[in-house]
Amino acid sequence: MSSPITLADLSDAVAEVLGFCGPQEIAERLRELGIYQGARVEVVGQAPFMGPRLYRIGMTVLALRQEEAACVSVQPTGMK
Amino acid sequence: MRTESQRPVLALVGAPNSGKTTLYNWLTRSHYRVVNYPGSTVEYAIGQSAPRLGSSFAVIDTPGTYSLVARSADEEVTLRALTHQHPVGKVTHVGVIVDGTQMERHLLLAKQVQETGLPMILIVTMADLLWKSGLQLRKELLEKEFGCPVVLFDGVLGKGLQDIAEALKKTPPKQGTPQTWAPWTASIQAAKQKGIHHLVADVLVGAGLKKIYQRTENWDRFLMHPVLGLLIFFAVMTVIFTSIYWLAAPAMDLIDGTFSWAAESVTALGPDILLFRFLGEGLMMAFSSVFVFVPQIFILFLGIGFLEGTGYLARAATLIDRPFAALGLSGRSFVPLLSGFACAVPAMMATRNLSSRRDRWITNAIIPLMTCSARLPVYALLLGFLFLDRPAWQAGLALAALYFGALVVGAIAAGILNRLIPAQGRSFFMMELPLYRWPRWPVLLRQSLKRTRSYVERAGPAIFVFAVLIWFGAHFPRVDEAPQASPVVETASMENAAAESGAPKAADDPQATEFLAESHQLEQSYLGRMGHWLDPVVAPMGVDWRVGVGMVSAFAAREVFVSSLALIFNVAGDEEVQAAGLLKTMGEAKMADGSPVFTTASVIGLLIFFMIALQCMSTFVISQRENGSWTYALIQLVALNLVAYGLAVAAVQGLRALGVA
Repeated sequence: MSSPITLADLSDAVAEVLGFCGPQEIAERLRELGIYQGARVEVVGQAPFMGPRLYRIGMTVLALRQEEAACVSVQPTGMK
Repeated sequence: MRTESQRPVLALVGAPNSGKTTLYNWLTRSHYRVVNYPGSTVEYAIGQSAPRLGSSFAVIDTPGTYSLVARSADEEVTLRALTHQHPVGKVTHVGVIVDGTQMERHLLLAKQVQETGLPMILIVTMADLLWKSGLQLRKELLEKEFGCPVVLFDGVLGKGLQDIAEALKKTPPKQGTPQTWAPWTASIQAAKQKGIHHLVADVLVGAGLKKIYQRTENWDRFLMHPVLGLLIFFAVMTVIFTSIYWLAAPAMDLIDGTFSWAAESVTALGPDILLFRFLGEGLMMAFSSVFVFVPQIFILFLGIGFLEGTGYLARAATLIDRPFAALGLSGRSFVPLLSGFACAVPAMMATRNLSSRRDRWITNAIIPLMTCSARLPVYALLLGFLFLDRPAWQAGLALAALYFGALVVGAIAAGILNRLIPAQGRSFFMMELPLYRWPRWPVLLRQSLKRTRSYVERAGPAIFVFAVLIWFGAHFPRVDEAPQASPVVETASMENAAAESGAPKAADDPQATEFLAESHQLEQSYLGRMGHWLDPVVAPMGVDWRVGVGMVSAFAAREVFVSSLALIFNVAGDEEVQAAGLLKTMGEAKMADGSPVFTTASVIGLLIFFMIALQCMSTFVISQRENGSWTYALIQLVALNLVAYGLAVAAVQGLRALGVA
């Protein structure tokens, strides 16, 4: 697979989580926060100064930094 | 009669924002106390079930955690609390709190607790929100899956408390020791997560879920907007911040006035008897310095609690994360730093839920630089002197500059520490933004009162002891004569002291000479002598030993600087007269060589010193406790004071070189 798309590349779309990449520690934390393989993720906003982006997974809204979002590989499923 | 150990002990375990604190308050009706986990700085609360629940059991609150794998100091306690021998006995039941709107995530924690083998009760909160949205929860499916009682709880009305008590009665307590929980591998976790996803889809019946988050999403369009959101953020913080000062002022005046009155009354019982003077001036004023900040701390906790309860606090941290990241911190450090504007003690206590140890270190290091309220009286005096007979807005502008200056120094310090301290792992952000809710005021008030009490218990003893020490330092060794007689005192102090203790002399002109004698006493006291040793140290700051005494006594609490200056410069009278008189006396005060002590340059130097210096024993004590290291606290104490001194000297000498006296 050539350079998979991650949550960090997603600026305004809906995607399905394929899995985790990057440090184990971050992946574990993300899992606890409710991101899991097969989950549907939607970008819902962005903090000022290109800060953390806001993602909604089911009923949960998460704010993730770019480097953290880059640990979630996704498959875009369309615009919202 | 049942003994302590036979009663059920229910530990509440749940994720942050799961409604755990609300439930805890309902269950105990605030009959609880906060205790320290042995060998750790983290506190947890132990309480008794409210009498109206009918059955008696103990309730233990644990810090919010997403999983049984601990990642912050707070989370570590949760895991240990489940097996620890508490004052009320070992945990017999675990109440797992699951937010009904967040079940996909929270049930994962329930699965982990289930695996420990401890008898469990599943408590689904936010039940009101589910009902209101027309959703039905098929709890029999949850009961089957987890093999334990499931209770719905409504945090607004407190519905479901009785059911929890019933469930506790029906569930047999723990037999034998619980299995320690073995962390899941990634694939097991993924499988469990999928299972729960399907379970939740079956458990929640109805189409109201979308309505619940839609409301939050609509609010977020404004509150999290990159421009508008930032403006609202600054507006909200300004309101919180100004109310810390304005709302608290009348209450602080009342406390200050009451203790001053008590001090005078006690002293008046026997003005010549040292014991009464100690009880009055020493003890009462020590109490006063502990309690005078209570209104501010309470309002701070109330404000932060309100923001936390509504769900805005997590968003505030998100909004400010990017600038903080530039300093090597994360938006999570925002709340502790904000608290630092009231007092460094609760601020350092608020760093406990930072998951990165490094973030905690850096945040705690710069918290004392935030302009705490104890600096205000000092600023008021010094700015009053500097801007005497000038328009008020100039002093106001200077005050704003001091606040801003402290922030700049804090940012620089954080930036330097960020480079110095090697990165141990990463600084996380990953913030959950809870659904917006309207908080319950009774819960909020009770929680703020509890936190305030905890502040008094933590910081109180240190402030108190140091205030008493300063009093002794200023009043011993005893000098019984007026200034004219000082040579006699010095040559025959031993005999004099002995004679004095046997027969205290009556003052012949108490009103007029008393204050002079007191001032003389201070000069000859241990504190005064220390001031004299400090003379060469404070000389480069353009001031003399008398200001040095003020700076040393300010270690009890910064605002003590004002009253000890008044004492040492012979300014008597009540507070207002004293402040006016002190400004005049400061203008006239001369050094040994005849030059004025308080000049534009030296006062600016003092302002800079107070802006940076860590002159607060309670902060020092809390810093040691929160960071678990004397080395840390000592380095912080020395470094901040040295930097403060260095910059003050540089400013004074620089200004003088530029021709500003």
